[in-house]
Amino acid sequence: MIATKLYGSMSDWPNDTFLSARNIRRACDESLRRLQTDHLDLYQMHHVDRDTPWNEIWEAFDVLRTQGKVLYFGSSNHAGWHIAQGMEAARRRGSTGLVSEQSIYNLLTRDIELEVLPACQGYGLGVIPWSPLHGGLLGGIIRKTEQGKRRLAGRAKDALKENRKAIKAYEDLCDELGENPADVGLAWLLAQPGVTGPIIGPRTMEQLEGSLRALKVRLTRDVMTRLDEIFPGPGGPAPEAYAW
Amino acid sequence: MEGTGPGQRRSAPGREEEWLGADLADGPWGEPARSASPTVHPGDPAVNARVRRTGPGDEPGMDYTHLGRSGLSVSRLCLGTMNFGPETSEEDSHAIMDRALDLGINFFDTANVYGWAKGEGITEQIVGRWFAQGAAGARRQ
Repeated sequence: MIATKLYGSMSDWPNDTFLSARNIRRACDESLRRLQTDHLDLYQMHHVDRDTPWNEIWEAFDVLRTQGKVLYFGSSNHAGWHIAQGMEAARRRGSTGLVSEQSIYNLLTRDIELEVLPACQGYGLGVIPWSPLHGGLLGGIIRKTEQGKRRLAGRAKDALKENRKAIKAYEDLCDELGENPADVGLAWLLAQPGVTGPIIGPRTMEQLEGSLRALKVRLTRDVMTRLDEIFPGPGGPAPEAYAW
Repeated sequence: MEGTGPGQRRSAPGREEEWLGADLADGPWGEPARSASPTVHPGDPAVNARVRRTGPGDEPGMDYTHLGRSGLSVSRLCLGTMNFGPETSEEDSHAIMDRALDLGINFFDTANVYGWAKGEGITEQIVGRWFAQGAAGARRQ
């Protein structure tokens, strides 16, 4: 099944972006043409569009569904309350609502545990984590750079500087378990309630084949606790994370 | 866990299928809440999902779950395509998609902006040409 997204700018014209009814109709037709298919299984809003009313979005989505061009809708990079607002708007109209939210989620970036994950569980959306290894940072980066196997750039480089101690402790724990850090990072996501499955973005066949091992890694309660100690996250859902 | 909600409806006896429901309220179609599963250990890889360990072909090991509260079954690894075009050649991208399908991955994710040349949708075009070539019936999975 194929999932794609709309929102991003496809030209310098003001209406070839965001989630207006006009762009929803046009962007969908263009994706169908490029993908050489007659329907999308999952059509996702790539980002929240604060300027387009939910009724406009749902009306345009309903048309696509009626036309048979889209089967399911999802969000990406939406806050918990955006999801709640969108689902309530859908419910009022009798629209289908969202089946998924694609968010950045990994051991280093656990913000969604506060509001997004609880919203998704409450409304029945599957969470699809993007950047599950934080740009390779959770894939054994210290060892790889020491061995000259990996050169760091961008997001990963800055984040390694800030998190070196935790990542070292993480790699040591993985050594102790006899597992690759990448497999442990994916297995941890697979064990989180509400998570459908992480997005793996292989550049090579080797990376694709390697990720399968993650499905077999069993993390014990003790290991989960130690991972929480290394990468504490927000401390659970709101409000208990910061109040009681 | 033993839910009374829609998680039960497709359970087929004899299949290795588990439903470990998260604490869910009414869904988009107004289904009743699924039961919570507070006793489930968070380290259990089957948590939150009706995980099926059956897949096509002779490649063991892919797990499937439903996408949110929908009837759609998706592999628990989703193939992201963001590197197809910018980092990975079209030929290699097609080979990776072939192999992903062999491994039981039926969930491919892309975006109109991937490829990062404004308006061109380079990555979607790479995926589209793969579909057009037949791609082992990929569009039906």
